[in-house]
Amino acid sequence: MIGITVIGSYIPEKRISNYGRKAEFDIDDYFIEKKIGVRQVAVKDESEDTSDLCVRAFERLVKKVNIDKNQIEVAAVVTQNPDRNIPHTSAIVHGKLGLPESCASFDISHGCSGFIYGLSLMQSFMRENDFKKGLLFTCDPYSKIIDKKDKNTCLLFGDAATVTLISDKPCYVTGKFTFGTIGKEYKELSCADNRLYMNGRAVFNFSAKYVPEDINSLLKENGLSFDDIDQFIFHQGSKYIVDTISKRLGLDSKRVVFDAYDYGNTVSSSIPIILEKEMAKRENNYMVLSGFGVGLSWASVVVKKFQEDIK
Amino acid sequence: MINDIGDKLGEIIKEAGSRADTETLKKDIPLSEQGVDSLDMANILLNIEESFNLKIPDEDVNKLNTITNIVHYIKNRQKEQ
Repeated sequence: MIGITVIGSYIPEKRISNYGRKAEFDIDDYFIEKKIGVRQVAVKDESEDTSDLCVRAFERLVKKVNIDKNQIEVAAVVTQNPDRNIPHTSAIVHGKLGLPESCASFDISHGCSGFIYGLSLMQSFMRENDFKKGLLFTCDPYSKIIDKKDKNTCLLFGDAATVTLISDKPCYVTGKFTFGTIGKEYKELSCADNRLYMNGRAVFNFSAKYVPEDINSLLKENGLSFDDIDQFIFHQGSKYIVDTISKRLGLDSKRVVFDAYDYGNTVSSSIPIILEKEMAKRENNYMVLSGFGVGLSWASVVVKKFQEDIK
Repeated sequence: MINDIGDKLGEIIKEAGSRADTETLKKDIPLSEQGVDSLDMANILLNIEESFNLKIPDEDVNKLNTITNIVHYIKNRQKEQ
């Protein structure tokens, strides 16, 4: 059985405070704390590139668990802000970590749904090739493409990286996945000429309409009810969108995490940053993970603690 | 008809979780000046679309800045249907 074994996260130390931008963007403490839910965003050092953040995340991982690099059979990076167009960033990470020559590497071009896509792709790839150990990185430093004068984006997005060890000794395993794409609306969250653009209303509408429907489908597909789920981990687009989705699903706020107050929306890293913490809690047998955004797309999965004695 | 729309709109604004006091909202003063922010507004417009079975294009959004304007807009759009 292949599944999630352990996660390491790296959030750069440098921060830009949204309190210092109140006058510039005509916002107040209430808007910062209760609405977007982002007090400050994490920003990588200019000298660091995407692959460097991945390496930092790996350094965090090996502090938690012993990993023999020679046993890693595949490394994948979820990113849309690679070090460079050619080669794939996973090859650069492979080189910086000194992974074995027999180790496969590929990138996954996806945004906020990327971690869930990554889980599905990595596990399928590993099963097909009878691999036992793989590394799934997420790193999408939007500081590379953010216009610091754009209120719609600069108050929200932060930099981070994560790495998930997927192996034959899992702590959590995945159930059935659900996916979807509204490609005709791709421009609403996109990057042209190295500048991020987001139509906040369009992305809000998409998230509020499609994600609750998807969660209902996901639970049905997995033969589970809302009461079976201990924790819901939604992509941290903003506090307002997480609250809106929760409200539309009728969820108790205790079962929904919002954690991005002090680092921001880290795109494909937002779910694994929280999952790392939630995996450590004994009571979390079943969790729903749901990513949504760039594409416009969504992807969701149920993860369950790997114990023989639970359903 | 206007009262029905106005009542429903009041419910929608309240449900959006705005910090505005929905009991004392003035009908002809921009909602943005009464505590309804851009996130609330996105939520309010979505709920109007769903409740009244309308599609509100982005180019119409700036016109929908007061309760009176929104009520008239909904009424006119319903006449077109």
